Amino acid sequence: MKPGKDIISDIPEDHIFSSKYGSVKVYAEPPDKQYLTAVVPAGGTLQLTIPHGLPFVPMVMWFAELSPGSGGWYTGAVTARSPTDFAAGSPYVPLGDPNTYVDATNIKVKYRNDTASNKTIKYYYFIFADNGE
Amino acid sequence: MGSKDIGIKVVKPGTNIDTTDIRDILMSSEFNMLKFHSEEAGSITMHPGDTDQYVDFAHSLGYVPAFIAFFKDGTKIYNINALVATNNGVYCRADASKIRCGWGFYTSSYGETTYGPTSPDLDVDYWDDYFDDVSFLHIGNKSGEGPLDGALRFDTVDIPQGATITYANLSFPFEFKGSGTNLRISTYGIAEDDTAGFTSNPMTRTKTSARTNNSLALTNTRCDIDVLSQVQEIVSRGGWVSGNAMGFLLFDNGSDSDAYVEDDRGSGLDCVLTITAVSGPNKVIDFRIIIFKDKLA
Amino acid sequence: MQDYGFKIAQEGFDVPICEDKDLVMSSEFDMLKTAATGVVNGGDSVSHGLAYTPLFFSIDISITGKAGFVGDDGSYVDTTVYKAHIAGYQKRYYLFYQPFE
Repeated sequence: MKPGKDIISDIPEDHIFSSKYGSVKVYAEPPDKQYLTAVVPAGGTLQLTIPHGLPFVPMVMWFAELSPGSGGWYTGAVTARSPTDFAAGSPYVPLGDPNTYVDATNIKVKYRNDTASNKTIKYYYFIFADNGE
Repeated sequence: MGSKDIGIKVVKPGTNIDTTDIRDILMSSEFNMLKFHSEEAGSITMHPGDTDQYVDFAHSLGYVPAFIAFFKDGTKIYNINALVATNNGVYCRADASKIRCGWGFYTSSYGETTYGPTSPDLDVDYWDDYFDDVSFLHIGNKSGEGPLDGALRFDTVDIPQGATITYANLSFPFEFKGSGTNLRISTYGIAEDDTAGFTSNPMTRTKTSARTNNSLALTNTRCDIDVLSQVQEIVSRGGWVSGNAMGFLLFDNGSDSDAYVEDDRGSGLDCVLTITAVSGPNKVIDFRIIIFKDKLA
Repeated sequence: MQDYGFKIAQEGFDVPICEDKDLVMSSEFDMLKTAATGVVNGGDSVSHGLAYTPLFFSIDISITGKAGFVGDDGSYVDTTVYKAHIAGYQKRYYLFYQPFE
């Protein structure tokens, strides 16, 4: 139970955890729980492919520092950037990109870099032991 | 008993504790769970013309935490990343000290409307005052003809009534030009709610109080005239309705001898009116975020 | 007297000394509690039956065998329903007991 709440409370909001309902479970994160980096080439794209090892399509939360060195991280693959990061020419995943998805084998994210210089992005993911599909 | 460390595992009702389908597990010490650090709420107010409004939530973790973020638009709650558009979006950005939620516009602003650049000049009405002709426009001081005036009319100007004009430019090409040096013209708007087509001489129509005087070297290929005040005056009229027609009167203002320019309607070189405006009510966006203990960087 | 509770450390970490981020869970920290999960066709609604507007995940699964990422979907929740975004686009949703406000 949450502090101050009675153990006999049947209100889910009062619980930390109850066997009556689950919570989303993290199956995997990057090795050693350290963010990964990748270089998106100037004027080009980078396809990331990460095997997840599960026998189903899992739910995945994706995070990335889109503007290299900015320290600013975003959630999701297709994401609105702050005007600052947009102006900095950060790599991004275009809306509706067909190469960004999770399937029964891999996580796939394809970044695009419209600038004239290579960009190194950082990324992190939580692969959940829960259905994405 | 196996050699694995002893831990805790809870499975869904009716499921065998030895299930091999991890989706049937409610909780297990084998799987990390996203642990709440804090829940935060805040809001922003977007005003027409704003390009970025945000609210910051400090977290004091000293590292970049995992998070989830939501925003409320009216009665609807969305995940942040929903409704991403090509030039704006609600965003959420975490760093080692705070989570910032905002609505950013990359190439425009909140409440912005644009008109133009106009389509080919067959969609624009011309009036040449010297010849009472609608097929071309020449302005300036032409040898043998003297001072030359004219008018342009643009229909279906989709700018809301009362909008604040932030940019308005009238541009016409120097398809033909004289031998003089400087073209000097005065440009007024036509101070009418929905100025009629040029079936008769429009030069005596009521002028806006706003006027732009330009001195343009004939070495240019096109002129650009700032008509922001004229457009503002017209769209501020009580009778202006988005989609109405808007016109401009151009008068020679002491051009040099034989300094004139001409553009033939439908020649493929366009007369262009470009307007940027902001309008509309303020908008409040509420945010809710959950900051987790789990570390990203 | 302090409340009783429990905490579990992630593999390789020692419960008494590890940082909060290295725990699996702790009775000290709330967690997302799943109220419901399911799949719904785009354009359709699912009543959530809660007395408030809950937080949620919505994942686009409009292409067979493929899912989008948490957060990248335009579905919404209001005081009564989860509404799946765009007819023809199937969604996987998770509704949580955490309220928006």
